[in-house]
Amino acid sequence: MTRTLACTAALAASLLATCAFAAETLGPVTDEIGVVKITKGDPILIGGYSSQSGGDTNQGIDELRGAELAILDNEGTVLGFEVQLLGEDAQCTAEGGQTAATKIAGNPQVVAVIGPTCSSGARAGAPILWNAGMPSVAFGATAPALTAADRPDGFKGFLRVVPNDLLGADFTATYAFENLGVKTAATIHDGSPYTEQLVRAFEKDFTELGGTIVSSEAVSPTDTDLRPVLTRISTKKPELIFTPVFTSTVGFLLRQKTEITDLAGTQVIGGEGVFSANVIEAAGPNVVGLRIVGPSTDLFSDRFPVFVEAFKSEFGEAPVGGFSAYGYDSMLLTLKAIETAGKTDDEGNLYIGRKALYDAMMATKDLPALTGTLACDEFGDCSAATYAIWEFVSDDASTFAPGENPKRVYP
Amino acid sequence: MTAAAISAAVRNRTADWWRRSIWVDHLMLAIRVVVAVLVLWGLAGGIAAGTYSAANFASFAMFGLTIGSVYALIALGYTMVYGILRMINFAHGDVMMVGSFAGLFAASSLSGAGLTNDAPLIALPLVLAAGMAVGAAVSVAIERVAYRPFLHVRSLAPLICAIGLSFVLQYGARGLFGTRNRAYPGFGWMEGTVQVAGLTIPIPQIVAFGAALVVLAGLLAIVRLTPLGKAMRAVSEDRDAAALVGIDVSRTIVFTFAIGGAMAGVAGVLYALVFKQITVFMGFFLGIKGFAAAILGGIGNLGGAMLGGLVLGLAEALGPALLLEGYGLPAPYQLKDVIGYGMLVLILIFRPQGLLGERLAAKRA
Amino acid sequence: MSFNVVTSSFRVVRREREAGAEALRIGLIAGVAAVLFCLIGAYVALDKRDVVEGVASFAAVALAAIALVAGYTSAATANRQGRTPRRAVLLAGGAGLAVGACLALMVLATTNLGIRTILVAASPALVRALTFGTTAGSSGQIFLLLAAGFGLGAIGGALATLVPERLRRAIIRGVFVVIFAGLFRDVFFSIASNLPGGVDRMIYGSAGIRLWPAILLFAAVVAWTILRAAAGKPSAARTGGRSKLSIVLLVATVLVLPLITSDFVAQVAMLVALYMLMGMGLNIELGLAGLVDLGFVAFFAVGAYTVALLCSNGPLAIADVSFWVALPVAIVLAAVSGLVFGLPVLRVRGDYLAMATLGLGEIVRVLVLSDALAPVLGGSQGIIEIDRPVLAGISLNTPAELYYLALILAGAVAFISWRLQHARIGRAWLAIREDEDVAQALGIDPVASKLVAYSVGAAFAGAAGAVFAVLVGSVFPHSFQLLVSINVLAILVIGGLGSLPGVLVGAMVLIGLPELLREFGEFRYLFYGVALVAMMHIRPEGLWPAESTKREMADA
Repeated sequence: MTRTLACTAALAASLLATCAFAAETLGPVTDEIGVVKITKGDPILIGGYSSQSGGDTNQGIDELRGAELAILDNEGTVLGFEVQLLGEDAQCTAEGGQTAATKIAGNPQVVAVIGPTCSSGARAGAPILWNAGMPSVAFGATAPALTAADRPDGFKGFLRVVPNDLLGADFTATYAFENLGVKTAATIHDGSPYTEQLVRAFEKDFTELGGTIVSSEAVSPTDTDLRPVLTRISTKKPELIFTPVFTSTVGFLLRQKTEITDLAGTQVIGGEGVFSANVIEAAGPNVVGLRIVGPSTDLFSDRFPVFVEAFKSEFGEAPVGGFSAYGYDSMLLTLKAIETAGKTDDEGNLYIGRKALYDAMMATKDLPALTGTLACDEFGDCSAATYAIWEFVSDDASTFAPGENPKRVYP
Repeated sequence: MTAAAISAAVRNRTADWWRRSIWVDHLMLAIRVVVAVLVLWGLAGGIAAGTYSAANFASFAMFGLTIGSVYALIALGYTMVYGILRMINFAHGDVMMVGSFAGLFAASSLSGAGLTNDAPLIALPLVLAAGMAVGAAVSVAIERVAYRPFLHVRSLAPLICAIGLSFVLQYGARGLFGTRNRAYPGFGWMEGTVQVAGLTIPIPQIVAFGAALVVLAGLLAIVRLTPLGKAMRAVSEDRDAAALVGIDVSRTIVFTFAIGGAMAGVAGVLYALVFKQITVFMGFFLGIKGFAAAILGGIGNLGGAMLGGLVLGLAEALGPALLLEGYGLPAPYQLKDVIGYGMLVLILIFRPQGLLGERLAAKRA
Repeated sequence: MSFNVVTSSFRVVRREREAGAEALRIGLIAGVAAVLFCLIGAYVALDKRDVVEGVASFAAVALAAIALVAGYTSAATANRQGRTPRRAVLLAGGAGLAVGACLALMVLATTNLGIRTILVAASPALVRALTFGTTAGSSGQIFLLLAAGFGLGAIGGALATLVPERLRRAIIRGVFVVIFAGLFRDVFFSIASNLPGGVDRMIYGSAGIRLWPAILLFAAVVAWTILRAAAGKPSAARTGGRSKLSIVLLVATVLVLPLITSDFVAQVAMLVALYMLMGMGLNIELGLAGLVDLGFVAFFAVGAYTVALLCSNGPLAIADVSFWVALPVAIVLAAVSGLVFGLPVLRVRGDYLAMATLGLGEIVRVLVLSDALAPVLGGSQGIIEIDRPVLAGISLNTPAELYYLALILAGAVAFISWRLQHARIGRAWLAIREDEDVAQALGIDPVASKLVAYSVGAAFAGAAGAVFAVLVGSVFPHSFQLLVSINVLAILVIGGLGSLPGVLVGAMVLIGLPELLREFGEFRYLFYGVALVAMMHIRPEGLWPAESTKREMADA
């Protein structure tokens, strides 16, 4: 009772302050937010929250599985301590993110958190985690506002390894207008905040470059018949369709586009949500020629196929979408930071200062990861943020390997 | 009759209606007028906007009939079960999904032998058989778990059980078969297209439409002509009386579920044939649409289910083009469910028993 | 039809087979269940979640429970058929053996046949997880599985036949309590953390309860149960005072829960309270007036969006007033939307009504999400930066504080429901539910009564939506899925249709438990589905049925 009252008072005073936020000294470590002591033999707990039920199930499961692989690649340990990922279901809703984050925050042994999948969940969840002194590294929440300069204090502990929408949209628009030379484009989003935001940013950039958005459409992720929408788009005769939607919808779109004769010459650019072998199966022969925006760097082409193989042997199927790599990277960043921030005492117990860990995370620089070299800026954007356009060249799902299929076509 | 007499008669009837009606009737009339005005305005605007050519509209109609025949196939299974038990099987859409996956595995193994590409006419029936068999088995299991234990009690228990089983099937299939989207292998010449009156129509869509008609005919034949159908009709009229005259009620119900499940299997395979890729979560929303189609046509009525499916499909494909274009809304196809469900609600307001349904006695309704 | 349900005296009774055949049947069914549990990937995933720290994972407990129950059931059948205890235990062992054999077959198939092309979870990891110290895929592992199956089945059988009833009851209760304590670690850990001296850490490890506390707890429960029974006190479950005692206990728990536990438990309790509000709303429509509503989430959305638009700091706000002004507006608007929904579908009945309301609910969701209304409602980006309510200068921020807000609302709503139920209008609703035509003949105005039911129900849901908006601090269309309507319906039926305490119990079971078990992630809804089916089988009339339902069930 007194604890709660104390918490309440502290919270009322300031968003940042909670009962845990007093300088604490445990063992050899003093930290202004708090210290986590991990007794020898106990595991290091890392929280994770993602969409594991509802419409975005695939992506959320992929991401946490990617993170599991990062732990396995580290032999399952950091500093000699076993690492355990506590995955929670955050759905793709604000209240899901909030509840999952509250649950994780309730376990004082958790040192850091990865996730969530959706920006809505991050908006509600990230401040809760940071109030408990836990930094979070998102693998899917791409909304620019989350790392904007004027973000509220509660988001100080929010980092992400996935690039923010604005960069990707700008890159794609420039590529389309200048390299492909298309002057008219149509967009399709699926009603999720992620795709809508990306599409809007693309529309803005494309128009600023001098192009024209002839049609701006939306579908629902459960739609199976996209031909009416495509017919509507075809009446405007765009040279390009930009649609960062997910695997099912891209599959339907590409297969059904062939039935719309007026769209025969229209190119399609997709987002990294379909950077996977699964889109080849979903779209069948029509996948050939599909271009997508995705992470660049040679690192990615080298390491990603190995990652996909490991993923397959561990979980029985290849990743469904492209976000599993971000799951891997978020965990990698976290583990590296723990390595820096963790201190052991004579008895072999591990102490991790929360502020020290956060600082170590924010100080991440030149970290070779799956999607490129990670480096965090002062607002928590840690993504490699180097893009490329990839093009699928074969409809055989077993040939999937960045560099070969899809092939890098730009830059 | 002179014009004066006619106008007098109309006046009389109007006055009569006005006298007997209550405010609810007036309100309904107002809704009718408002809807009619909105629809006409949208239509006029859409035509004036001239976005689409006649060929576009013909294509829209074809798209509508295609997705409509899938809805119809699902609705037929829904309606079969409803007709006999007067209960909705919320897991029906997921039975369809399971049937579709069974078909996928059958098709994959046949494709390994090269059969799907070389002899689609042999392969397709085998794939359909796999889908039907598994669909029927799952459906019978659902009857066993969700319906049979509650036949004698008055409660919503079967509905809740069916909802529970729907979750079990979705997330169970997710665990068993994985999350990824799966594609059916190619079916040789059946992947081609034909030219009909200037329209290019993919063959699978003709197959799906034809199959829906065949299934409807088959079901009607079973219900009208066979002893089993007679038993079904008897059980649906009065379960107790049917038992009294020596009909094995529980066997009849099991057979009905089996047939309904087999229909769901057919729907699942044909869906995959037309739309090519399947996922474990596709059943729920298609099931809802099938439910809507069955209700739209008048639940318990086989012809109604067929009609309801086609009408719903057409409304979704044509609706945004015809009605919303005139209002200049952004992304009109995002609102196709508004058109589909809106039409459903309106039809129910004005014809509470659905398109072909009979007005059920209050006890039944 | 499914909502008013035609009943008949027709009852299907399953014939019981001879004990041996029955044991085989049970064993095979249980074996298939165990294999499915493994092949959906649940075993590997839940093997990481300990119930008893370092000793038993949830996955292992589940598999063991399957074999135990198989043995118990077959022995009980054999017992009923007059077999000797020895034979009964043997049969039970056989049933357990069948479970083990199914698992062994699965292991063999996984290691030797390429079943993984279809079944993605049939992985080396699964075989590894099932080794229990032996080598993966070896004959030792097969033997171990068979022996463990037989042993567990026999233990289950012995429990059913050899152990005296009193002790059996005590043991079963003890096991349940231990599993419960391990499973809901978060709740009990946070309660224990109120105690001084690090007791919490002594009892709980990082995932489950520690071994010694588990044993102590088990022993304590067993001893307590036996002593109570020996003292001749009738067990609480059978006394008439049960409901009064339970109500007192419930109320006490509900009042102090967030104070003695963590923010997370308070957050879950908060969600339970929200669903209670909605449940009581639907209870008016469905439980009392018999109006099926599968579009109930629309009213919830109206309440949430009203508060969002009125209290947000964002660009979409149309006003920036305090929550206390916005709340009544939200409630009134929701009630009005209830009228608007109710009017057109007044004449529609039964399943047709279910579909019509489902359609209306989906229409609302699609409209809220649409680009067409995005300039007003934010479309998929939702409305953010909603102010928290401020009471006497203090902003209500924590889940616990908001929980009390929701609780006060729920209390008020429960009181209103209770009064309505026993007022003239309540009786009118019941009459309409039973037979609309007769009700009309008795002089009840069905139109007015139904409309009142719709708007009152909607108002309650609107209140829930209003609190939801300030709890989350933002509203997104994805929070208003059809699933919410289905959940509320399930709460009502599981709790007991027409029963107010039933709504509370239903919401606790269907919202509280899945929320607490969030770490089950991808399997959460699977277990939710299984639980729905199981609960309907165990108590078709609901966990806390209304008096009238109880009478009807007794007649059936």
